[in-house]
Amino acid sequence: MTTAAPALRPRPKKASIRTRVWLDIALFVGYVLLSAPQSTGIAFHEYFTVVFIPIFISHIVLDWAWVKRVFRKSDNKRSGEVRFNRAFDIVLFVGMVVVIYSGFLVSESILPDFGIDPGATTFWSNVHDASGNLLILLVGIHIAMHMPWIKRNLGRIRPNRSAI
Amino acid sequence: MNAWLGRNASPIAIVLLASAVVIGAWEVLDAFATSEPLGTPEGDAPLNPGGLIKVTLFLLVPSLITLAIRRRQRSH
Repeated sequence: MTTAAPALRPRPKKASIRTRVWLDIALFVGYVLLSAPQSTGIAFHEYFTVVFIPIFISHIVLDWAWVKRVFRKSDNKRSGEVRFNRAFDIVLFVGMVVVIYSGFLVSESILPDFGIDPGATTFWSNVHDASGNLLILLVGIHIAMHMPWIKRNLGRIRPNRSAI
Repeated sequence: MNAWLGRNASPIAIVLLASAVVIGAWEVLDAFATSEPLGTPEGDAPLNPGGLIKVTLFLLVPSLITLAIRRRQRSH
């Protein structure tokens, strides 16, 4: 009797370093522009958020292998830096979700343009302002914590350099 | 694009689910918080470069402090 070989699950294709670096640059530039509604205008601030959300999700998804490795339960022998990044990135993710969601709830442009009244309240306005300001500081620390990776890979955005 | 979404369906679903949990928690907070309807919109204010200067400073200062701490830690 012959047994059929178990079907192998296709492994997710890992994104190239070049893709990830370009995405991170887009994320950074987009974030800076989004964080300055006084300079870019409320309409841009709100409409560009819709573009920013998929870039933000892709930033996490493209580094999913790192996320899985770092959050693996059985692996407690992580260095202090990795454990710090793990906790810090959770806070950063929560902050980003809160600032985006509260932004929609105090929308002055995008939702009213579609005929939706978000019913903005002082609670969500305060949450949006506080989380937005705090998040800028946290993003600054996040970038500094990953500076070795950035330095190592920033040069790889040119097409003639091979990706690792 | 569809292939990429298909390959990464489970991470995307986890990220969206985690976002929903965070939003749910804040909605619970909102239910207990005292809140009033928001007054005048901010959108009418004239544009100025102050926002970009603020973001740059807010990003730079903690970055430089973190880099300095990391460098100090590595040198010990």
